Amino acid sequence: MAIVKETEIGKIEVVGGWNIQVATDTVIKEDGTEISRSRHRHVLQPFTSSKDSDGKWTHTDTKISGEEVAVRAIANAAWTDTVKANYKTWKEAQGT
Amino acid sequence: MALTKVIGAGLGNLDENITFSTAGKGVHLGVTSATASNLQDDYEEGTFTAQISTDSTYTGETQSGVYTKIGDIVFISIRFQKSGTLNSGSNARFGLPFTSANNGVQATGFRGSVENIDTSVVGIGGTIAANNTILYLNEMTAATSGHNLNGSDLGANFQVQIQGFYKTA
Repeated sequence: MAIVKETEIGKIEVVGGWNIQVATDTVIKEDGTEISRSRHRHVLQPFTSSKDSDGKWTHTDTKISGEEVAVRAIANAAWTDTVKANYKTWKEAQGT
Repeated sequence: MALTKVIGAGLGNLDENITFSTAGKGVHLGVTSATASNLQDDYEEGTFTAQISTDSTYTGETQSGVYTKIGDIVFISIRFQKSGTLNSGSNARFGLPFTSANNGVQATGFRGSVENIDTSVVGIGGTIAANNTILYLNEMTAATSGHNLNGSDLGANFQVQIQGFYKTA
């Protein structure tokens, strides 16, 4: 009887222009048969943005080097210069 | 038991879970014809990364986020604990499992508690802007309607627990 734990990307979605929703499934198999599956999610945006006390915005690129290859590919395709510029405009208009 | 069609008086007694052969399918509830606004085709539960990992000032020693999504509404619960302090200028905020709806409405259905917080704060809530993936914590004081909770409001070894719901995209 062999119990194996695996992780796999369950779903990658681009929502609202720049939000990348990633669902990662943890799958437990016994002798090759799936006996358990659980899901973990995280969402990526192109930047981490902050505004200082003078009202100046700083947009730091989101590090995606630790993401799965498929996630990196989607992020690189979705986050074009135009999309990034749109995100900055939207973020700064929100004020926080 | 293979379920192929629902007719007559009902299903009888099922002794297995119902599984659709195609993803994204569901059940039209309360109507006798296919009506998009009555379709329940999404349910999911799991965990999510509540800590915003790319924000170096906001690293917690303990963080957990769980969610249950029913249709386009998601219920979330977050616990976050930090042994040190948060930079005074940093807003207390969390990541989400799903993007909020782009409907021009700020989601405000959150309520929580904080240990080791400025004593003038009588409670905390949370807000999510439309089309966003960040939950900002808001402090509520006796004197004001509140503002975003930040590091200056929080002492060392603070712990945040917050629950609520929002509409997803």
